[in-house]
Amino acid sequence: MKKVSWLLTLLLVGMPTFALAAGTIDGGSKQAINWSAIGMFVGFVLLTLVITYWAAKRTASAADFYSAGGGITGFQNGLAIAGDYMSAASFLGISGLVYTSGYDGLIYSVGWLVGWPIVTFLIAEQLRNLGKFTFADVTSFRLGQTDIRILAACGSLVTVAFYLIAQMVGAGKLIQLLFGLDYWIAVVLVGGLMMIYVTFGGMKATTWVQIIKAVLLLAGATFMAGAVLYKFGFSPEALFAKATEVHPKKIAIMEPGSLISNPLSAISLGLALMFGTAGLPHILMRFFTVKDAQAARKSVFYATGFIGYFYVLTFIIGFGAITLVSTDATFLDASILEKTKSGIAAIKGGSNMAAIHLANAVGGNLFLGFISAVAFATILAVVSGLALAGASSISHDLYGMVIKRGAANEQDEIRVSKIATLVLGVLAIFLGIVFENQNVAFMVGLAFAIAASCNFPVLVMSIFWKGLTTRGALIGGFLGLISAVVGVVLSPAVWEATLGYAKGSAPIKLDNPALFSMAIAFAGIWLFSILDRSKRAAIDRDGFDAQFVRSQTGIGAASATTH
Amino acid sequence: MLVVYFGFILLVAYAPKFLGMPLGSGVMTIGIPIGLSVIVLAFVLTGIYVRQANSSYDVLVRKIVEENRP
Repeated sequence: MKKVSWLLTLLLVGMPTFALAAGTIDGGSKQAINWSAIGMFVGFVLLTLVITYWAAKRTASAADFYSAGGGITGFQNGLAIAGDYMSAASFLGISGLVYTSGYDGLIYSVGWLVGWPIVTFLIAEQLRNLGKFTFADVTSFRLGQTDIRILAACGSLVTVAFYLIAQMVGAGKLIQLLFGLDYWIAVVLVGGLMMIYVTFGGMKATTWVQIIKAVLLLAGATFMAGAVLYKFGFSPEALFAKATEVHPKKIAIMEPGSLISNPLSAISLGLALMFGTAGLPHILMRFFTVKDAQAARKSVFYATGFIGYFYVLTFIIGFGAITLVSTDATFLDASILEKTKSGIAAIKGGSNMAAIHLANAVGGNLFLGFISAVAFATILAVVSGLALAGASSISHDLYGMVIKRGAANEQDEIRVSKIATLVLGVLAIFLGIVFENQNVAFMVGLAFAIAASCNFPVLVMSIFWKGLTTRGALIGGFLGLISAVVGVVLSPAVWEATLGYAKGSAPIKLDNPALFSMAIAFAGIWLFSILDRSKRAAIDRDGFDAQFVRSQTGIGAASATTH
Repeated sequence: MLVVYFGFILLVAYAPKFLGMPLGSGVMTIGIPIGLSVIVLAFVLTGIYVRQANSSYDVLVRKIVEENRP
């Protein structure tokens, strides 16, 4: 405990000086220093550190660390899940997409949201009844522990890695814009804070940081959308009319097409967003923090409401940015404007900054500070949830169940997950720097493809298909994982934009591989389960009935621990 | 829900011009209300399901469990 308070003091003392130093380095060249923004940044960080401190004092057992002791209510969990969804990637990325492509941004939103009912209808309650800390608890319920845990851990970690990259890029860009800090310093800062939250506060701190941020973000976005509509006399028609007039693509922003070039690509992206939701480890993990299946269902309902409302707001914000930001020279880069003659392309800091500039346009400097602080908080909160999901999968699945065969000492397991958090943090910082110039919403799409092709098929088959065997799940799951990763690497986004090969040379034309990688995973699971005649397979199939009873009734489910 | 969603995606994929059809005389296209209503529908359907499951379904399950208790 002594170590915690020492670190806290260090950070409290360090933060303002750090901001100050940043200010003096970059006085007027990049960005004027915004003191209200810095003040709110520091304020939020202080608040979250207090929460972390509070949570750290109450986090003793593994159940506290991984699932906040099961003591989160349905409404709180709904907010926290919504918070996980309303990541910086979706807030900045989607409003940025609406800013550049108009209607296509809405397609992303719908894909993201509609994954929700699927989660509810299919897996939320079964997950709560069967699982304890990670979704691998569910998939390995009747299957061979070791193999399935390794598979689940691989799926979780790859997903977490991609998602983390997207978050880090958003964080770097944002702080760079606000403080005039170098991109890499910003990324290191976020990674560092994330490591502190997760190592000391565990799930409880992560959840409360998420809840507070969700409330702040919803309030801020509501104000922004309201201010935009106010400027147009609350007539969406007037807003859209002005947007089509000033946007270089004119009326084309009101219909789909400019982003998604071919139909297969659109379907594939849809699949990834929809079923990927049901395979994201940091979301799945939230269902273990509530007390029973009823609360798990309720939390999905609340979350759907908040997320849906939020996406409607981002759509308005994106269009607001088209009308107010792309027409205002203060937000545009003069040299790019000269070359392209387009206010959309010339936006300072790239399209992901559309919402941030809009905040300045409608609410002035003070509100810009508020939105920037909230966006920063968003990244920190989501990144912490991800890191915790990744670390649990390393410590609970790999260390606790595979290496120690379920006989790990609780304290050792927690220690391993803290070390894993630190390793993940360093990795995230490194990858965040490598992937600097990707559109962040798109990177999230890639994470979803992998979640949809590895985690989701294994999870759903293990819950619903009696014939599933360990071998089938293992081979099919890895096939899905590998094909998703290969598909992503060979897709235009990575092959051309990141690896620098010539345009049009990407071996796979789909922006998102989910269409074929999900099919490969399901086919692989089915085929290798059917062919499996081993002794283990008989045990797997026999275990289904007991699992089915528990998943439907909750008899024997891990209960909430009280303090 | 799946039907609604894939209906929407197929429209996006194969009939972008339909979604781009202007509503009335202004610039508002038919795709905007369709897209937004998919979001609202997702929320409403989830609500109906949760209500059903938490009120009647769980009661049934509990009854079965009680009846089979030795």
